[in-house]
Amino acid sequence: MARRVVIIAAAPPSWDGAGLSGNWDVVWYYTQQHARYTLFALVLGMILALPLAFAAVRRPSLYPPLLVSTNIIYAVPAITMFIVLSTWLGFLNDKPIIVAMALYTLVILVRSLVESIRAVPEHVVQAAEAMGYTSARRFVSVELPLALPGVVAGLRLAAVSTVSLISVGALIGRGAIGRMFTEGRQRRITTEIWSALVAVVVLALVLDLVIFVAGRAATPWIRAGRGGRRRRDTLEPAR
Amino acid sequence: MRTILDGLSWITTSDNWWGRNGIATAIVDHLWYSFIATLLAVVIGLPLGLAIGHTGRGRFAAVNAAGLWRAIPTIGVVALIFRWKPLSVWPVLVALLILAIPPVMMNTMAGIESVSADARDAARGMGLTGWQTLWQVEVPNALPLILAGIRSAANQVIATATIAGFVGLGTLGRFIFTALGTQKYDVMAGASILVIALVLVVEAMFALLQRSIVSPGVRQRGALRFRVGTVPLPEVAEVAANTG
Repeated sequence: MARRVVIIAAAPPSWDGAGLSGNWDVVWYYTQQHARYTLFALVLGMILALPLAFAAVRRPSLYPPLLVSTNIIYAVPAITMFIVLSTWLGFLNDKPIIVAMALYTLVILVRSLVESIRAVPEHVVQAAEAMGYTSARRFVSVELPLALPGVVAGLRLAAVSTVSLISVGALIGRGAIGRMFTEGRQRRITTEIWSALVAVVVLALVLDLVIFVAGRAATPWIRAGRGGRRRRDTLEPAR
Repeated sequence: MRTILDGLSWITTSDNWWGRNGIATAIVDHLWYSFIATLLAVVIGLPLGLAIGHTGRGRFAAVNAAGLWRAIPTIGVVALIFRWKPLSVWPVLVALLILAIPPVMMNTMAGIESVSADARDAARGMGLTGWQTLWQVEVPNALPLILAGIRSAANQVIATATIAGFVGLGTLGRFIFTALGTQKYDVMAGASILVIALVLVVEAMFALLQRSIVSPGVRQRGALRFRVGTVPLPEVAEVAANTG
């Protein structure tokens, strides 16, 4: 019980005065929260997107309606999404914003998964099939790894747009850094708004970089293949 | 489910449509802000995308800048510009413009880059200047992707224009923000359904536009295919994005 009391007592730090100095704790507190929301949302989004992409790759007729659905989800105004999810998941916790962000990432993740998997060379897929791979195993151990560069690119875009979008949660009091926007506006502290803008962009940059580096580490064969020959011009269009 | 039905009955109640605070005015405002923002984004983003795609210069900087640019939170821009110019359309217009530039610019660039080297060589062999190549070969071939970029920008802008309600301006967002305060969830549902409908209608209009202005030769080649790793996928498969 004691632990619960501590959590309730830990009010978020609040902006004090007009300048940035002395308020780094506010920025840091909300940035951590922001990063946490983003990571949970991306993981949840991936968990939702993978089976959908699997279905769309195996049954191409499912793909167009799936795209339209993710587009419609994306068009749902954020506040409405929060309220709808809150009535289901409860108003006083972080779940609604994380689930909302995960749903918004689907429009990017499903598309990048399906398009990259479709771009995996046919002969590789056939070879796996001939070796007796089941459909699910082929998906996990052949198609997905080869599609990784495109998937990582999609994940980066999803990460950046999620970081940007979470701020809207401030309108229902759960926007992490976004709360500095609403608070800065109410209390007329321009510096707080500026600091929050910079914090969001820097956080997006850092996450983008982390995913980029992780993606490169996970696909060593891409660079290995280029070793001896002249490096292929990355702008060369597909034949 | 009930709330959705309540929302539909709010939409279908004719009294809610007319007057200064009616749905009709809100839709007109919504489309008007969205149109201006998208148009400005095309005016700025299209030439940049064409220049970068054609010359290949500044590509690295553009790709990375666009990544950062996308991270700029709309509500932050609205809040910031509101401190500067309260009670005007500027906070909303600038925020929407910022949102709409990257998809237009990056898709234009990717479109120009996707034109096959053979077509470009042929144009050169026929004695076309760089300028002629751009307008007579590259742009017509890149048109599907350029339009996809503008469509994506328009989608995002319409979905996000609800943010205008945050600073008390018109658009369908006003209903949503007011409903948030007064807990009138039927109004919130109704206005959200209208926003989604607007996005779908505009989407359909772009599909028709694409059918009528893209050259049949380009169209028949079907969906442009890219090898993953050549053109970064998200820039090609730019998607409807961002609600706020």
